[in-house]
Amino acid sequence: DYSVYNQHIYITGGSKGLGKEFAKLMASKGAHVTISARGQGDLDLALEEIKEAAQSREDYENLKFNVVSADLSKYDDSIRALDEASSKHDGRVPDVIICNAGISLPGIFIERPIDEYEKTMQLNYFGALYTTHEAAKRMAQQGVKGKIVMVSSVAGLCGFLGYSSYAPTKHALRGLAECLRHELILYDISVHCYFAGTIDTPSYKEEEKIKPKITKDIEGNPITPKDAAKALYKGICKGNFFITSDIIGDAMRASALGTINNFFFPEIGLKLKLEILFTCIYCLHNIGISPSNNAFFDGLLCGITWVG
Amino acid sequence: MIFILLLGNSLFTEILKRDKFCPKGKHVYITGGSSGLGKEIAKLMASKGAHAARSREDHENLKFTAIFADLTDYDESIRALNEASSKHNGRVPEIIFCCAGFSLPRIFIEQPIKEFEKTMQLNYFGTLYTVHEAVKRMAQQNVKGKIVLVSSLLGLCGFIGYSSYAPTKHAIKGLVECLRNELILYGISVHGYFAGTIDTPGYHEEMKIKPKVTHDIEGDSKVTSEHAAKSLYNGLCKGNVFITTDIVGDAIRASSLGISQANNAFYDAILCFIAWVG
Repeated sequence: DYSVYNQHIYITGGSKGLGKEFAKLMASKGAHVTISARGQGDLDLALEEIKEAAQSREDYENLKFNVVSADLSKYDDSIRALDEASSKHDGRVPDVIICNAGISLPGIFIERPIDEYEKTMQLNYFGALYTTHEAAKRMAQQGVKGKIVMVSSVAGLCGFLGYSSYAPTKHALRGLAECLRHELILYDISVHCYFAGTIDTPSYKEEEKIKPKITKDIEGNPITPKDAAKALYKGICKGNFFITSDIIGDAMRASALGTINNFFFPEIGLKLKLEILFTCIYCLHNIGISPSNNAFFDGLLCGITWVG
Repeated sequence: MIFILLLGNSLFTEILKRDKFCPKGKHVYITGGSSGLGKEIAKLMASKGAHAARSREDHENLKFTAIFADLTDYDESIRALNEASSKHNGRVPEIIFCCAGFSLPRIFIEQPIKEFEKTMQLNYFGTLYTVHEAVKRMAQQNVKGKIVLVSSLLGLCGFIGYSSYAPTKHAIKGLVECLRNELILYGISVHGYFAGTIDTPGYHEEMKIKPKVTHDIEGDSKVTSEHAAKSLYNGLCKGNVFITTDIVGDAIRASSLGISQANNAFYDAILCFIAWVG
């Protein structure tokens, strides 16, 4: 099992939501933490919470907690942020990179302006790519056997109404994580991909204001950022590539076949609703050629959801 | 018992599948239609009696048009769609194939960031710009059209060398899934084509720079553009949402389905099991 003790964890989008909770968790486990995000104000507030999380530790004085303000959707800023984070550790690239920064602007496809699609891809995918690309180069150069973690989403495993600007970006992250899992083995860098379900964060609350009702109906209820952070931590420690936040996500990850075509119900409205309902129940078999976390467990889940 | 249910369901599905594909007399718009898969699709559609906006040939009442545009640019994409529609009294094309795309396989840490950006810009945004505008017009003009997005098996999995390409094709898959759900509301059907390796001019360009290890994993088996176009056409005729070229592609597809629509639940279940064990 992997231990984060004395490791330098770098978290993009670490001033709020999942990023912040994960940062606090890492601090409480004795890791050095650097968080990056745009707003200096939010970063400073988050820093206080991170320090507080580690305060009861005996080695508190030796732990380094830092913040970097940067626009991670821009290449130069992402490099600068990584430089600043490394500079607090004698130029050594962070051991663990959590690419968490992301936005979601749900809406009806034909109503949303194109620039929202561009903005979302720019931060969610390119933001992660810029940091990962540079970090991987440095890890290889410096011989750091590090970890890269992409925060994707269950929307990166499936897509549904309302998420046409978001799901492709999270799918792209999955594609990147899969290729890198393969490729970065060469440098002893391990890669993980987190398929989080809906998390109750400030961003989620913003999303809810513009989300179409039908999308809300499909999505269901969120989990807390704390639980989401714990699930991610567990997955990383176990060395899982594919990490999910809850059993539904797990079933979605491991399970049997797509939707049964609801041919019994010709009427369009009901058909759509049922198709969506079925998709939620008949979860995913998204392993493809990715490594199964535990072949027996997955097989069991697969069987259960297929029958269910 | 479950097997029987599944088998029964599959049979019903085959019989009742909507989307009997008939391109005759329809206006087909193909991006990336000047070579490779796009060109073969255009030829195939023309042979089935469709009007194809792609190449300059006049044949009786069928209209064939070539439009030059940089599809990575939003305004150019709209202009191209306008030009295509203008030949049909402003009516939006009924069938849109988004084939424009390319691949630059390289070792991740050696690949310049610009290449990641260029690849995403054409493969994903090039598709998005056209589809977004076309769907708006289909909804406005009440055209119950068809959108076909060309992804790849690398949109379902990924391996070394394809880190700039696989994400773009995954993004297309994500788009297919969301739009499949959403565009039912307007009577527009959506399909994704998960092609394996196709022998095209683009492929030959790729081979010049492809890392050896990537080539070793991929293997040498590839299909002709003609065969790929036919597979796509067959998949569309069957009304499949996720279409592949061959059995290996099908196995990868079936085991990566997620909550996507299974083409045939029984067949997919078997493939899935085989893929899981294998």
